[in-house]
Amino acid sequence: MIPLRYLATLAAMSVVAVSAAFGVRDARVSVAPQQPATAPAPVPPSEGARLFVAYNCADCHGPDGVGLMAPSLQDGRWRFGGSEEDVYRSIADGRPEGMPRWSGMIPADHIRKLSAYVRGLDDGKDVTTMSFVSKQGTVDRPGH
Amino acid sequence: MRLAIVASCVLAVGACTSDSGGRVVVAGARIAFPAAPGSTEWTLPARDYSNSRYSELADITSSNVSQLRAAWTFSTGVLRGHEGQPLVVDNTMYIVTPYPNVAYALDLTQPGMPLKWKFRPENDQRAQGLACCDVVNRGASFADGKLVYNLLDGHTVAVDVVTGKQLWRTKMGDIERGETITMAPLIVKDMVIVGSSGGEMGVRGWVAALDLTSGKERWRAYNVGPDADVKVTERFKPFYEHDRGTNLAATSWPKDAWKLGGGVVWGWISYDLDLNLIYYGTANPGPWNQDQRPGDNKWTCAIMARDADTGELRWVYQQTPHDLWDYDGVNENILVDLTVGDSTREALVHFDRNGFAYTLDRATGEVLVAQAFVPMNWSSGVDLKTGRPNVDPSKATKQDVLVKNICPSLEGGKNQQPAAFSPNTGLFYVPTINLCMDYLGRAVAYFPGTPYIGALPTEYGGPGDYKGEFIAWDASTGKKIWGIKEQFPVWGGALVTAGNVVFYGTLDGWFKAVDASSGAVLWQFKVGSGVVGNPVTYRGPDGRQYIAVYAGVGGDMGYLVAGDVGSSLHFDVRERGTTLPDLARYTSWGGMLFVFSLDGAVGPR
Repeated sequence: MIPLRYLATLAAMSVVAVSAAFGVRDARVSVAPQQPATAPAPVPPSEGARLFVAYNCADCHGPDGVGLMAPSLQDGRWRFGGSEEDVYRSIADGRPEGMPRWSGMIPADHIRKLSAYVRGLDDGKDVTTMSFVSKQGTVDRPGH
Repeated sequence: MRLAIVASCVLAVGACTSDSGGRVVVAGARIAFPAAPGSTEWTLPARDYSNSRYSELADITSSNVSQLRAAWTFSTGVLRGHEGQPLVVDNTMYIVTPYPNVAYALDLTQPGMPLKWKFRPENDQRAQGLACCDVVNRGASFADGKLVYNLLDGHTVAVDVVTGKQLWRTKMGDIERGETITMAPLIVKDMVIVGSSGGEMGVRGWVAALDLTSGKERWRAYNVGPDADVKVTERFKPFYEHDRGTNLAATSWPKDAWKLGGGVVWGWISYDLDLNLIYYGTANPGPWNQDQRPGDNKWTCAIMARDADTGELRWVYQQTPHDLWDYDGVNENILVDLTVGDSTREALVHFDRNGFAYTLDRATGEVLVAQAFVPMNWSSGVDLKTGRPNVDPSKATKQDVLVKNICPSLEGGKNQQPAAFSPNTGLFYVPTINLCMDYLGRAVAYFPGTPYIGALPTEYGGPGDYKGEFIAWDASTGKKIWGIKEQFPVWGGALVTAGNVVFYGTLDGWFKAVDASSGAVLWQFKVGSGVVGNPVTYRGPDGRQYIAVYAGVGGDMGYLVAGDVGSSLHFDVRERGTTLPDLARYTSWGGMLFVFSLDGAVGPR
């Protein structure tokens, strides 16, 4: 039933073998990570993007987090907080309207990599105006 | 508006004739189990057990429908896809909203139609994140002073229509595993027939019967798994040889794969009162990625006939064995008696996602007619000796292979939007979709409560400059009689009346009245949001005939309306996607009931 779009990025990704991760019970993730005093260590975006597909995040949130049966992660509307730590908690603990609790299902370092990837998805993607009357249609963005 | 009418009837030898007024008529076709003669209400989702969506009311005709005007409206307070339809019983209208599935009872005898009651059920909010295709609800059934409907979180409830109080609430699905319920239950004798949703989440589909009085489960039958679970007994007599055997719904899968095998029941149920059979369709197998489930994957993408009292499977027909394209088989089964060849057959007519329209013998499951009703290229036709489709291997999807230009797309030639049948013309009126797709299969792992799909499809418009078409169909021969092309998929259902008028709504918010014989558009009105619901008609306490329909875009193809990419914020702006890039120009979210009458009149004449 689910229409998916923006295929190109995902088509280029390799599919991760997740069987090793599936079923892992990682007690460490029950402890809230320390709030980083400085920006977290950079994580290669490709790793987070790969996990985003492998753990079926893209099937709910859409390819590249464009939004599908679950909310957009590109629009800059961070309902449960927009810091990387907030995003970590959303993934690890779940959220009330159906976001699953991933801690205990996948390793904590994978949640960390996903958090970094997801937090970066809104860069320059927000749209404030869509014009339908110009010949090609126009899009205005807030410029962040 | 783009309008194209093809009057092919006169060219189809033996398919149909014209009456003395020049109207198209398929002779001898009739509703197998019509509503009670003289009935002016709408008590079941499709009005009768045949799922005809036909009404005898004929005050509004093809001659005067141009005088139709909005008479009154009602806001449901919910801005999501309003699939389904209201019911009208004893001068009361019953409305069920998308999640949170609020029910309203409107008093049609009073000016302004004030509420008799409003019922807000307990409904787990987690269900919103588990529903694949918007948080829709396809309506209620009424019997014995009870309004019965399903909740998105997997419960079935019965409400006292006098007090609005909950009589019972039964947990049927498990949202921890991704089970939700969106379908309209059907009340059969003293039972409520219910089926599950969640085919994209690795659940295992079932249908069940509840006691109407107590809400207790009478029986539950799975569509995949061992015979005991599927309720296969010695009474199971499928028509085709390859469907006969022991534990086929388990052995046609890799070991234990049926446990995540899908085959849910989110569409419509019909009932044969003579054979005591319920009919329904099953959805896609899980996961979509076919390399993870070699075999026929019985009984997914199939039409099932079960004994209403015991749930035993009596026959099955699998339209799409080993589905490669997400062609759920859940669309409605319309029970009619019609002429095929030289004889009158007790038939079941089904317009499938896979693009074929099937006319089956409803006692045996034999395929009598199978013809494409939309542009399609994955199959060259159905072999009537085996009932199996001939598959073009170049359109077979595979893991890690991008297969291009598959028609129809995963939305199907038709989706949930139900067709209607008129015994006056003998024609079926079918809302259809013209989309194609590119499809990349991928390996997928199962995580409970998350999608179990394994595919990356991209959809776009099919051949021709249109993405939907409302057609009239002769099921005796499998021929299209006429069609009205639309710029978007037609995602709302059909209503046809004895006034020889057909009604349907469009994603861009036009509610239309069409001549049932010629396909000429006689009237249209721009409602407040796209239409994905199904029109109904009834006679009010003032004696007038009314037409009612929901406006509220959503439900899969329509819920991405705000720019075609996902938005859970109703007011927000989104960049346009590729499938329906212009839809957001023509409509936005809504949740309104629109009611029409001649001249917009309400009240005593």
